[in-house]
Amino acid sequence: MAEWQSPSRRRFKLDPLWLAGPGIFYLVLLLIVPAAGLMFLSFRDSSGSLSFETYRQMFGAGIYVQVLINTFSIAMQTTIACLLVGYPLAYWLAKMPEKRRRLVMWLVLLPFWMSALLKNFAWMVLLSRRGVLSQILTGMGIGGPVDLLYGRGVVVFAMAHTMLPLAALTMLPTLLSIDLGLARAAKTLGASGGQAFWRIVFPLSMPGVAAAGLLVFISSLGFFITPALLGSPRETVIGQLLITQVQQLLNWQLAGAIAVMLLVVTLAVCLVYDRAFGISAVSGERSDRRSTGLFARIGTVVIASAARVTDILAGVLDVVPGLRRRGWLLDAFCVLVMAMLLVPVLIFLPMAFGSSSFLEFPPRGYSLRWFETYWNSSNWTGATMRSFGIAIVSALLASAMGGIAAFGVARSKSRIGNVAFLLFMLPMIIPNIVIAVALFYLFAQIGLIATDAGIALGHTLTALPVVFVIILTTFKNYDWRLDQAAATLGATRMGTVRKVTWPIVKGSVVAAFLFGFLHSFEELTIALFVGGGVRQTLPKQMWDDVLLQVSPTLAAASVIILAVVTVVFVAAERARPR
Amino acid sequence: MATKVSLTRRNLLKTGAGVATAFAAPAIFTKGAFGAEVLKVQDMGGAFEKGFRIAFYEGFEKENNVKISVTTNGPDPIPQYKMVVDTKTNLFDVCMMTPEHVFRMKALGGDYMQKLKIKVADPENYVAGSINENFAGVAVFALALGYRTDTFGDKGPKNFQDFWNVEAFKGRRGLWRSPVLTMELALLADGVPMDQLYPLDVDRAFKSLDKIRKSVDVWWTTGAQSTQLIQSGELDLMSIWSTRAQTAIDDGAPVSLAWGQGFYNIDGWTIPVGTPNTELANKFVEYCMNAERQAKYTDVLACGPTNVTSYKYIKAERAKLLPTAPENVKGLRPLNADYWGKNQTALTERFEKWMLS
Amino acid sequence: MPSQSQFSPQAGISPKLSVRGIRKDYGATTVLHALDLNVHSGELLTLLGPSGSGKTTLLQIICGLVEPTSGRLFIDGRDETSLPVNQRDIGVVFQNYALFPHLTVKENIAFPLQMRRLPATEIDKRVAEVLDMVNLGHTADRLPKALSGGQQQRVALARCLVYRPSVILMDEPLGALDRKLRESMQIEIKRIHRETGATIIFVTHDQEEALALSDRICLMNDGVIAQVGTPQEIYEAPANRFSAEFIGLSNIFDGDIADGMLRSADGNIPAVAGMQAGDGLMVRPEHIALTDPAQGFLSGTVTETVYAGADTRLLVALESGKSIIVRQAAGFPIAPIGSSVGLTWQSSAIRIVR
Repeated sequence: MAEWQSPSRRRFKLDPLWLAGPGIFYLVLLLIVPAAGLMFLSFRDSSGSLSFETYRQMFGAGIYVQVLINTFSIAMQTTIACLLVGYPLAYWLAKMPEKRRRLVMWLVLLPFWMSALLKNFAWMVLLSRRGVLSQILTGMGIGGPVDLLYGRGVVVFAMAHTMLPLAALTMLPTLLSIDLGLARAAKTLGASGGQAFWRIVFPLSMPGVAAAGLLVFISSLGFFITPALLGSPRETVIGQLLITQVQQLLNWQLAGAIAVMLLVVTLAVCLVYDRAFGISAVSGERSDRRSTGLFARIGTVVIASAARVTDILAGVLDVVPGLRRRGWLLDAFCVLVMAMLLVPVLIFLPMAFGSSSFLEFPPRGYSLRWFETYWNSSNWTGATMRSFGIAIVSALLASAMGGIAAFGVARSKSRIGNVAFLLFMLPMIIPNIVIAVALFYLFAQIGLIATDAGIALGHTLTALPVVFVIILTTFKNYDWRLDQAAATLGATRMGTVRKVTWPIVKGSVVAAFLFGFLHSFEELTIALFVGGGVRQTLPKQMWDDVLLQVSPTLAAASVIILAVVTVVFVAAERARPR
Repeated sequence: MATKVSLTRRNLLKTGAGVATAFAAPAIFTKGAFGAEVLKVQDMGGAFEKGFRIAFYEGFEKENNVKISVTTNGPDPIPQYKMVVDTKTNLFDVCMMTPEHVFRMKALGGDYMQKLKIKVADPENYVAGSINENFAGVAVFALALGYRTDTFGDKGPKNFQDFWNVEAFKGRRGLWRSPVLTMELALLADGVPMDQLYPLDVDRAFKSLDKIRKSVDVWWTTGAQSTQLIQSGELDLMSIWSTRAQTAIDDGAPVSLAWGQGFYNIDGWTIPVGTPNTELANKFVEYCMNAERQAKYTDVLACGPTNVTSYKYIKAERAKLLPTAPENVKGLRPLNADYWGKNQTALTERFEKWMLS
Repeated sequence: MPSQSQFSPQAGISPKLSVRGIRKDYGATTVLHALDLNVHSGELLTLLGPSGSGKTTLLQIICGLVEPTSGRLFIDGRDETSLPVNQRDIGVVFQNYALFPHLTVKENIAFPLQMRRLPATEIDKRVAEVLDMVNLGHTADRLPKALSGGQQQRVALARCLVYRPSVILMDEPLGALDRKLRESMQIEIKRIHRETGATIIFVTHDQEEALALSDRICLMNDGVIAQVGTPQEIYEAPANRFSAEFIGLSNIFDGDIADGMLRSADGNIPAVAGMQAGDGLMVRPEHIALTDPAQGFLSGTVTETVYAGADTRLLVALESGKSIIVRQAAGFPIAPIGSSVGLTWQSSAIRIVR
């Protein structure tokens, strides 16, 4: 972009990247230093001298390696499930008119912002042997009580359910950027529907698929709620072991070693991803590089066979009456997926108003008693307000640091800009359980454990990538010539910011703030570790209740969360520039 | 109903106003409404809170003109307890623990629990293990065999040998995913007499577990989960804490407990180091040791009083559901806090390894 | 305006492509009113009209991307109204080229041949041939975005020519190019049309492009065909007011007819035989000559002059305020702004428009 630069301005040759300084400082201080410290610690014995004893213990015990393999394979299965279901969903969304898409995306995102805890508990209620689904199946004459819970299948299902919105929405922008005219063009050139999809649309959507796969996989690695609640012992994952080591056994060396192992695996995955797709594909383009290697050749074969299979299938389906026009199949599939996404969220409404002392669906009677219990319990109300407070503070901090950093990175012409970008993405790339353990380790030394400030600082850290990306996108799309135009019209630098820049980017900054708020409001892992059981946030309170009580107060609280999330989410979406 | 609604609305307004001062908020709620002295008690929540309110809190508040504010323990109280003392956060003045927790707290080193200064008139009337220098037990609960009566009718399993007999007693089974007591149950099932369990023959216990392993459908991890499992009928028979099973029974679920074999544990009060209310806290703990008062919670909370003379005040019908009732307590032994305090870490690792293998 | 079916002098020969009573509704709005149109083998026919006139919809119906509400489409005498798009023997060049960004130039061009399962050697041969035809042999292994706009346009053309479809549809293919490139591409298209003998239907809203390229023009307006004819027919004998105004510049006078004169607000103009009430008279700017104010049919004042090299355009304001365009060939003295002039013309230059 050619810009006019007056000679007088040229004297201040400071790259705007310095604006990312505070954020980078924060990330180094709260993430890189403690993570390194933890790693360092794992190579020491209790007396402090260098030792591989911890690793000998870890690999010797066998269970840690087994659990790592579990974690890895569950994450892999979850990723595959998310991509298989998420892709058609994203495709469906991409084909919608803009207005309807916004509405449907809202429905997809709503369950995403609901705590995984709640959704998993809903599955426990719905899928139990004498639960609703089992009764329906029995009623239809399909076998007796069905054993759905406590196995690999339900764990992968529930985890994929939690991650699906993330997967679909990561793929969506790529799919939207594909010119739908290309598929039409392919058809005029003689391609069948299947050929046009597999040879044109699918290869073009690969960057989105890869990005979604990476994000889902990494998030899955740090996931422990679902395996703990819905899995059998065979589904034990690394997160559960970390919690035991840190909280019950206070074994820091081993916790450090486990975290390091998880981190190494994660970084290895990122590296493989980088080799295959280029890590910058997450941030932007660079598709000029045409791979001619093994990956490309495999890809060609896969695509050709997929297209052939689709053609054969289409030929078969053509014979079936009513299936000649198949557009409705995708609609039906996606509506079903949407229903699945929303079911666990919605069943909390009737359960919250139930009169039984258990979470039951459908409830036997209705009352407001659980809302009263909620309002009258200082545990619940206290936790709710603490969550509000922490969420506001973290969102403010994250928006301030992330916002000016995004401005700096967007304006920077320096090559270090890319490094800064990756650094800000780091809290998203490192599994949150590792972050939580690292923060616990750091805060324990400086007296921030069991403080609200500690939790808020932690939430700020993990909210940073979300906030940063939202604002960065806006600044990248911002037409800086407007600022020049304002200057030519006589505006001062401050005047330009106040009258031109800010009004245009305000919406996305507000949206970033609100998404930061939601992020903190729903966060459990860091609250679990840093809160120390003393500073209870709402998700932590719910986690305890799930482990201890499982009273319908939980449902009442989740209805309140649902309301808060809905309001904030709608506000955020409205604030977002179209 | 009208008053309740307005009450709710008031709370709503309070909540709204509180958002602004969120960090200070918990203080608003825990401070006494009328400026009376406040004692912060942390119990296990749910039925415990309800039962103790009737038995202890209401009476104590009136007699001493204080206000008791109640919070709830987390799933594992130890990390929190440690934090509370280490960070000098006055989250509670009195906290509910078990003897095994007390043992583990002591193993952490450092000074966490105060020595109790209470007088008990009739120490001989208490269940074994109820009182030590840091701990005063008020409620006994037991890990026993729970089963669905709609599955087994009158021919339910009586002990853990029956539980291990997968031919005679068909059904979905659950065990606690913890070596604690599960090892003991495995040995009992294998024919080891109750009196010769300790020190545990660990290899024999795992061999016994190997036999049942394929038939165990769920290894439950938390109390809430265990209730949900038996209440919803997900499982037909399982090892379960008596209080947890009773919650399901009281809700009308077709569930029964076999008292033939089991282990009991005791919930009781401890006072953390650093509380500003030591005197009042001790007074409260002493107040809870009274037999007649302990009897009062049994209508709501299915725990057995530690003071066995309480049964004078309990209806026979209810008594037979409680672990310390003379008929039931015969088959029960106290959880060996000493043994587990020493061996839990090592055995947990071995147990988890076995689970995954 | 009545719907018209226009038959060319060659109506006796069976047409390459025949549109019969094709109509398209979107909900309550009718985009195309039952159209009839024949396209002859080997001709280049332009669909010309303002945006919203329905030309793109008609094109999409022909290539099968849109299904008509009613009516039939025949290609080579076969009813192909509901044949799927990929089974029609039709090529389309899209406005934005629709090159596949992840495929090289060669792969893009090979795509339609692969879809037709041609042997690899045959594909290579044909791709090389067609690349030569559009002078792009050296770009075979590049990705489309490494090419200039004109080059991309030629790749799109090549991709269409390579499988030799019997009808080629072009949807405003030159719209994105600058003027000079557009003109050279027009010549290129004419050359390729001549060399291949393909039947081409070309959509544009640019009348100059239509006049320059077409064998015949099908002028559309509001979902109906206003006129079909050779460029010359349409320019010189517009069938109606729309044709007259849309193609080229025109001056139209209205008024009552009495005594062989058209009584307009600015004066009387000699009428033409056959005029009816409501008809107007049209004179092209190049047919108007400037004279002394007293001698013309009408008189007015020059308000603006626009110099365009080969000629100069004058705007002349009449008494009523109506503005007339006059074109003066180069070499004549240009009347200065503000001067009074008279307007006159040969009676043979006058056309009736209704």
